[in-house]
Amino acid sequence: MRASWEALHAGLVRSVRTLEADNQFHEARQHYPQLASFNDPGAVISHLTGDGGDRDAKDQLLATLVEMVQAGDAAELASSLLWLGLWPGLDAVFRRRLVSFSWDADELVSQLSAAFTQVIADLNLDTVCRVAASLVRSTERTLLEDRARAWRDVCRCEPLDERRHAEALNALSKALFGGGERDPRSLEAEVASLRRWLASVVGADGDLLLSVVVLDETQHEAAARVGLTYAATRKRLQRVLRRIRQEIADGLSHSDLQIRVCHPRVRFTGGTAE
Amino acid sequence: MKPKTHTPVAVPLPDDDAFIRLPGLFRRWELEQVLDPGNDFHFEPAGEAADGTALFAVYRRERSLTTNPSKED
Repeated sequence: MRASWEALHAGLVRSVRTLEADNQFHEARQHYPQLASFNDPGAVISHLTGDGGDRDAKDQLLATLVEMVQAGDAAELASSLLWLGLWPGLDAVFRRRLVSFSWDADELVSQLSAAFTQVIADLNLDTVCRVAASLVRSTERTLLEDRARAWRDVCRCEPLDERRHAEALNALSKALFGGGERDPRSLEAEVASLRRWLASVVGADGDLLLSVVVLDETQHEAAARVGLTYAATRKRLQRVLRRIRQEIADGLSHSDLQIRVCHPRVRFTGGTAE
Repeated sequence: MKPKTHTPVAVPLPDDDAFIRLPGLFRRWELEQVLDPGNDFHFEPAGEAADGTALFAVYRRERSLTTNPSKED
């Protein structure tokens, strides 16, 4: 599950141990006083991830690394040091958000990498008080916003680029059917078809279901958005899920049913398969 | 303050044929303990120990990753 995440970590560790990285670091030490007290990139990482030390000094060091990335001075090395220096926080984000990505670790790694890279590039050092917290929290927020935007696009059936379209539809399909990749050649038709099917089964509650089940909205957030109490939203979602399970079950043969549908509460007493 | 760019930097990962640093620093007579004929090595002076002995940082590159197969044919 964590293989791609750990492979990224291993690659980053390797990247700061190269001859090129050491040369870049020694060059950067002459221009950035915050780096002067460290002998090599590994010492920077140990300092940032260690329990002790002055938090303000660590923040200044992180700000220096962000400045290097934004200025293009040994940007790859500085970026790697930011990754590794903030790895405990980023790893916590990874573990927290894995469920939001339907346990698709590769996709989460990809999205998290893109979000972190973008946050570093966009961070305004003149207005940020705590660089470490800002980087990690903004990365998680960007990750969730991108994910939420993807599902909102599906719900609105607005024109999307192919990649985001495919991501959203696959998440939707997995959540509802546990199936694999959908045919990318007919994405718009499939989205429209899926939404029509949901609307025919559960009506307007289909969008509520998607917001909670498919992506990242909590039941509390969904309740606030649609103006219901949490309890009412929870009951409505339970009812919607029961209806969808029943609908899927009715559409399958008995043998298919045993394989594809889990019914913890619903007992089927129809005829047996021949 | 240096000018800021907003071009995202891709996650930087090294090439397979990069020289990778071995942990620690080595005295001159310790170098033979890390040398082996299957790899390429690069040495960098890394200051002195408390007793004045010169220290070196050692970087290693696996030769199998840099060998051009077409030249072997």
